[in-house]
Amino acid sequence: MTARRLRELAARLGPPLCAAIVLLGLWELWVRWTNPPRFLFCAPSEVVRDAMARAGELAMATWNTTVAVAWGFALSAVVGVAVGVMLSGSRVLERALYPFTVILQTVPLVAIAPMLVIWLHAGVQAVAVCAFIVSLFPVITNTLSGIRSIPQPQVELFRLYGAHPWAVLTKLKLPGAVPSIMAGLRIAAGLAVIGAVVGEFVAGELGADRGLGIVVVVAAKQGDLTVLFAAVALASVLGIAMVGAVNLAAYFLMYRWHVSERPD
Amino acid sequence: MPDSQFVALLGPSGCGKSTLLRLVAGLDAPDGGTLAVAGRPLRRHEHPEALAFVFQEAHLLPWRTLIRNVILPLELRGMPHGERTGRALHMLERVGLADARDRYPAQLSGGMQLRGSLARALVTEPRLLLLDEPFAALDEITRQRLDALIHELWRERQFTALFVTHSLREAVFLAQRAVMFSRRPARVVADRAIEFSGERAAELRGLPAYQAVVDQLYRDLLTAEAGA
Repeated sequence: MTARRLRELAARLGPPLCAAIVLLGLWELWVRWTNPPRFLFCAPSEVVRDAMARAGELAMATWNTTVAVAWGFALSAVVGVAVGVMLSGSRVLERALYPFTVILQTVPLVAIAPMLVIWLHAGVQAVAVCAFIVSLFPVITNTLSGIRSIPQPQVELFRLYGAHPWAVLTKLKLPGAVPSIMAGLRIAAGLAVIGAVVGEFVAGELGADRGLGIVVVVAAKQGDLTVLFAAVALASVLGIAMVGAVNLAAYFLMYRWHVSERPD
Repeated sequence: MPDSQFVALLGPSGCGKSTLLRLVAGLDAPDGGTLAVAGRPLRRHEHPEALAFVFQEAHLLPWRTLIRNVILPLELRGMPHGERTGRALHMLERVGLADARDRYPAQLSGGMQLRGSLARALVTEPRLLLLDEPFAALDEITRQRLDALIHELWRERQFTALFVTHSLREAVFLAQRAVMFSRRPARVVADRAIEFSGERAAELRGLPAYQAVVDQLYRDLLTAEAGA
């Protein structure tokens, strides 16, 4: 890594880190000054202290949730792009099925999670499916609109040269929809984390496989505010890491040719 | 329309010049009547083999480098890998873009992009080239350079060309024949042969004979606008 790259990295990470330090500092000072009862509020330093004391357990929980999120996200990426491609192929199919994909967006997860437990039993598979259901819609709809926005002359060019439908898909539709698909995946990455944590409330396991959602439920029942904060913070970090991974993939796929990824 | 002729299609906006090109290319289907390409009537949605189309904008695929854009038609027609790269590179040299072969379209100027799309159209060695106002968005100098390039390529390869344009000067510079359409319902109001002795070069644009043909076409255009 060159000195210039390092400076760019510092310029990117500096501002959000500073903002976080200032906010956490203000929070810490405020708790120390006002000294609220600890079942109502606690200081960041106390969260860190208690989290350290139970580091092994929290790390395990984070790992378990990560596994469910990764499965759910991967599934919604594959299925979402496939469904989007399918719907883009036919107006009739789109009209017939698209309204039902909206259900994915509106049905409350906590209402379907019990059904998933009945069909799949509680555990990582049910939690992954929760993450999948919640994150699927943006992938479908963005893939669809990405393919639909490909300029007509480009489509006609392929028709003129008698392109095989497979060539149209792999050489035109998919690459042309990449910017849009990446935007969908970026939204899906965050939603998958929410889906998994909420899914765990209902469909998670209590034993050694428990994830952050279960840690949240147990800590809330026990009034363990510091652990609650720690679990929420870890879930956020997981979400940021997921979105970061998608951004990285988008960069490598598009920096050469797309405006959104061009270096300043 | 005889082989190897360069025909300009002129007329008021919206008279259906572009639609005619799209019909010939098989991109739109006619409401009635028939169209014959290479002496054979064209079936619905059939795209003539030895045909290429140059759109109003370059429409290079932004995720492909210039050379891979030029390779695309050969790739879609299943030409072997080694052969198509050589052909594409040769074509890029011909339009003066060999140095830019590995650049992406976003890194090319508008004129370069259009030269690229011309290379993409000609790389399959079409017998019939359809051009739908390809240079409308360019500045005058770039446009004249591209006109000269097209003329050169046409002399060299002797393809048949149908060229839709709004510029009478461009039409007179390039075409051997100009067909003027009236407003809708469109009819042919004038069909003129354009003949100049010798090679056409930039100097042609200054000659009185050239100006005379432009003036003649302008009178035809007024007639067409009047809808007579």
